[in-house]
Parts: sequence; C-alpha cells; structure tokens
Amino acid sequence: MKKFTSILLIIATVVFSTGSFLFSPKVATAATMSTAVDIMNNETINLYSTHTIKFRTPSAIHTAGNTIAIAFPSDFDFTSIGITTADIQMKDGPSTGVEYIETFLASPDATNWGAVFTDGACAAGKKCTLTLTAPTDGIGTHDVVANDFITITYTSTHAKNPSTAGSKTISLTTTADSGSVNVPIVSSSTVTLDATVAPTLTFSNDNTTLHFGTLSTSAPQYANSTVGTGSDSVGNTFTISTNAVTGYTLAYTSSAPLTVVNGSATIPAASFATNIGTAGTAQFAMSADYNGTITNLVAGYRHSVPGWTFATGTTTILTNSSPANAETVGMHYLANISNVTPAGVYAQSNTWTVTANF
Amino acid sequence: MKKLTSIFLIVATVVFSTGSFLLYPKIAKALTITALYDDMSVENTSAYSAHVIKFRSPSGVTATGNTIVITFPSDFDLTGAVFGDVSIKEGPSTGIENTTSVTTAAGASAWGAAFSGTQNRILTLTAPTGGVYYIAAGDWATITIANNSHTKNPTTAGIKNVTIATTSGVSDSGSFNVPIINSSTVTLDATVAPTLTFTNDNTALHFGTLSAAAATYANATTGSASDSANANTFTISTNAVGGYVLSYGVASTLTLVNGSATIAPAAFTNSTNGTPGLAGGQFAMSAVYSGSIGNVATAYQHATGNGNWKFVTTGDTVITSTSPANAETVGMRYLANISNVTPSGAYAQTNTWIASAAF
Repeated sequence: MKKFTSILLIIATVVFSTGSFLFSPKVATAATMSTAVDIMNNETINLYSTHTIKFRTPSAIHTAGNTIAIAFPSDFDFTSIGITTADIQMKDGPSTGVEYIETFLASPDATNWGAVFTDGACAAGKKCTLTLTAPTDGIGTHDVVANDFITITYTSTHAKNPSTAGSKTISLTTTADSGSVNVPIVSSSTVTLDATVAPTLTFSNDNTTLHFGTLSTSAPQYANSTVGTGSDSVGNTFTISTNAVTGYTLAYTSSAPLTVVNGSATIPAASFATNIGTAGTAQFAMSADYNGTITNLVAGYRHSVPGWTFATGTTTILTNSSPANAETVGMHYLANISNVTPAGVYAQSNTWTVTANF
Repeated sequence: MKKLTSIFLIVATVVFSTGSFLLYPKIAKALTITALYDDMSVENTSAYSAHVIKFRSPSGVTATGNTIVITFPSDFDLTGAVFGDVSIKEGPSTGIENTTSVTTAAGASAWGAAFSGTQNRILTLTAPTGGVYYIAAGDWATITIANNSHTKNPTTAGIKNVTIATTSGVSDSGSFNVPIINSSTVTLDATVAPTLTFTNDNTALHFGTLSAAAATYANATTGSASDSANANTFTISTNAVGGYVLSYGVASTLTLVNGSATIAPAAFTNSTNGTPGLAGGQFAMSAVYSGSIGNVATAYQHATGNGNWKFVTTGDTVITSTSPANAETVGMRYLANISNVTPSGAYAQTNTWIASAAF
C-alpha cells in the first residue's frame, strides 16, 4: 500500500510539473456575434426575397484586410447578383447599425470596401457567399469598432430562396469572430383569404293606390293616398338599395295618361317647369324628390328644380351608377283640367321597375 | 544455602509473575498521524482557497497545553489569517460530531488558534484549559481554515507538503500533499446551431358569403358566423436568445377580384364582431397566442376583452417574443363586415407572413 502511494505521488508530481497545458490549454477562441438576425420579406421556397442581415460584432473591423463573410447554405441562388446598390448595401453604426453607408468596389481601396461573390457551398454560379474586405485605410465611411452593429441588405431582385423547405443556417464570419442566423424556408408563407359579397337589390313602395280626388280648373290637384290635395305633396315613396357596383335604374312604363274610365278622353301628358303647371289647361305629369345626387334624376323629373314630366311607353327617371343604400324617391303627381275636360272617372296605371347593373 | 536459593526462586517467581513492567517499563512513543488529507476548494496557483484538514490522531490531544501545529510550506501565504478563520470539530467517527469554539488563546472551553511564521504559514492550536473538548486518542479532528482572502495558494505549481504535529503525552506527526496547479479548471466549448422553424397549417382560407347584418369569420371551409375557432395556426420554435418576431408584409385589404372595390381595413378593440353594416365594411384579424399575452401587439390581442382586431395594408408586427420559443402557436382569426352597398362579387386577399429570429 505504501509502495502504491509512493508511485501515485510520483506520477502526480510528474503530471503537475510537466506544465499547465494539460489543465488549461491556451485556445484562441473567436467570439460569437450577438443579436444576429436576417429579416426576409418572403420565406417561401423558390421565391425571391430581400435579406436584411444585422449583427453586432464583438471585435473591431477596422484594419486593412479584415473581412466579413456571409455564407448562405446550398440551395440559395444569387446567380446574377452584383455589388451595386441595386443588389446589396452595407451600413454600420454604434446604435442602429444603419447610421453610416459603406460603398463597394470589386477590390478595396482607401475608401471603399471590397465585395466579392463566390459560390461557397452552393452549386457553381450560385454566388452564395459574399466576402467584404475592409478598405485599405481600415475605415471607409465609418470606423467599425467593437460592439458596433453592421447591416447588410440584399434586394430581392437576385436573391432566390431554396427550392426545399426547412430551417436554413446562414453563417457570418469576420476576421476575428463568427456567428450564424437561421431562417425558415417554408412551402408557403402566404395565407390567402377569399370572400363573396352576394348581389343585392331591394325595392319597396309605400303606396300603390293614389287618388287625385276631384280635379279643378282653377288650381292643380295632387294625388295622395286619400282623396287628393291642393298642396304639392308626395304621393308615394320608393326605397331602393343595391350593392351593384354600377348602381341601378328606375323606370316606369305606362300606356296612357289619365284616361276616362270606359271612354277615351284623357288628361294629356305634360311637361313643365313649375310646381303648379297651368291651371285651366288639362295636364298630367309627375315629379320626383330624391335623397341622392340630384343629377341622377332625369332633368324633367327634378322636383327641386322644379321639373314635371309624363310620357307613355317606358321612361327612365333615375339612373344611379353606384351602389345605393336605402335611397328614396318620393313621387309627386299633378293634374290640371280645363273647362272642357269631359266629366267622368279617370284612371291611370304606371308599372315601375328597378334594374341593378351587377 | 539451599534455603537462600529457595527464597531467591520464590522472590523471582513472584517478581516475574506480578508483571513485566518491572523489567520492561512502558515507554511513550511518537506515532504517525493517519488518514490525513486536506480538502481545498481551489488548487490554482495564486488563488485563495479554503482548507479542510482532517486527520486521526493516534495519541489524541488530551491535556491542557497540548497543541496541534499545522505548517504550510514555503510559498503559501496566509497573511491576514486570524483565529476567526479557523474552526475545529472532532469526534470518534466522522470527525465533525463536536464543535468547539476558537479564540486567540486557549480558554476554559475554547481552543486557542494562532498564526505565526513567514506569511502566517504556521497555525498552532492549543487545547482548552478547562479540561474539556480534547481530542481523544484515535478520534478524528477536522480543522477548517476558511477562504476569507487570507489563504493564498503558492505562486508556483507542484506538489506541496503540509506537515502536522500534535503534542500530548506523546507527540504524533504526519504530513500530506496538496497539488497546486496552474489551473484546476477545465474549459469546454460546444456549439448549438441556431434554429428557427415556422409552420402554418392552412394557407387558403374562406369567408364564404359576407353579410351586412352580422360579422363573418374565415375558416378552411366556407366561413363561419361564429368567432369560435382559429382559421389557421402558425407554430414557431427558435433557440434564438433574442426570441423572434412574427409579422405580415405589405398587403392589400380584401379586394374585389377584377375590380377595385375593397372591404376597408379596420381596427377595433374589445369586440367580437366589429360593426356589421358599417359603410365601407371592415376587414381585420386577431391572434390567439399560446405564450405571454404581452408578446402580442395590443391591437391583435384576441384574449383582451372581447377581442382586439386590426389590419393595416402597410404590414405590421403581430408577435414579438424576446426569448427562445418552443412550439409557440399563434392562431389567427379573420373578420369581415360589409354594408348594404358593399359591391357584390368575389373578394380576395393575401398576406405574406414572416418569422425572423434574433440570434
């Protein structure tokens, strides 16, 4: 036992006296870049995407010959990429990483960084690795010191995503340090939504039977739902709604003006620009109040102007070229008679139609 | 003569039969201290270390004035060490059964502890004067010198021999080695590759036919009148220490196919259905998140009140997580309202979603 202990002590002595390298090997360790990120604008396979690669460098990069290398993995494709600002940019700074803009040449000079694309891990011609070499003065636009941020952007023009989905690692290497970022390449990063808005057209009329009552040769009579009136008032109101993109048309069809029942005498269709017409002259006309744009009304029917008209056949009185939400058309009906207008009961019928243009 | 001879024989017989001490007196003999070791907290050169010295005393320290002397070799530096740095425990089995107090000089029930010599390398412990707290023969003693920046290791590496001696009726002694090395630490490095995974369970969503009377919600089939389920769910994992950001890019709102009519982008809070029938309509979305609600941009927090909803055509960030994420889910809900005059037809909209991590 004593002999064993002695041997052990000898071994221990030899081990500890041979040097510290066994316990504390001196290893040159590159620092890891922090806050490294690559923001793409499209992570879908085979599509072109921008890259905004930003990282914080633990060590200064301000000596001629210092480099920054960005190596995309196999399957990225930068075939036609160039070192112009149309394709890549480098910015740096102590706070945001975009305070200063560096400029590129193929080889560095006193003020420009050198920029070279090589294929790296990609197939020939894919130019997946970008190596930036510090200007010969080491500085360029801005002296990149330790803990500065560096931002390198690729436009999407010549930056094609891999053809396969998966988590892709982009390595970042400077002369002194290294790091990496990961981007998710997905089969589709888009979400499409679709919806249908059904066509709608509603048309209502609050009164289908109107009465003039007894007409007069001395003053106009206006139809309403009871016995007529000497005051100019709305006889009935249409309400129209539609989501038709090109709106709707309101028209009426009539075969005749006010006509004596069981006879042929009529109170003629008329057109005038007052709200009373001409007392003592047989006249039948109508006019419209409208809560929309007045010009949608045919001029001869604009009550607010005023304008009164009646015509047989099919006549459009209102054309709205856009969707309508509960638009109202209040109809006025006026009749004047002369002293020779035949006595009797008169009647008249209009068929109103609304047509939407979807 | 014969009688004299007999007497001599009798005497001799008595002498030899009564015991050998008369001829072989018992002599006090120094013994070697056994089971001796020093458990240091740090063995690096020039570092400060605690010492836990444990030994078994063959003869014990059993009387007033008896001492234990520990002598560190050259290059140890205990400058500044005081009695308060020292503690003594003893016992028959583990050596820590009994604890005694320690003072500068031995007292009735306290051991004295004094450092001396070059850079205080000699520690002398003196047994109490009151006849108690001795270390019985064969018992264990544990002497601890705390690391109070008073116990500095040698500046050179190597095997260092520390001696210990006790004085009792006999004096025992022993020594032990401690390895002092340039570095007792072992560094290891490893790399964990950055990861960011991002999946979406549904890329084509449908509102079906919208209504001016009630909100409609998109889903994978024909839409729903109920805000009861996620239309699609993103799942995101990353080991990025800075977490990740989920955003959508610049996009048009719901727009009439082959036309220009739109259902307006909207933002509203604490509402399940927005404003059905509102002129211009409403299109917005909301997020159901498996993580901390604070990571969801307020305007998209479905869990807030009755739900916050938003959509902007300029793109926006929906989730900002500042720590690694393990399969976090973001369930998206989409709402549309129309008015009576929302132009009829088929509408469509596309969002491009981006997940990016800060490694």
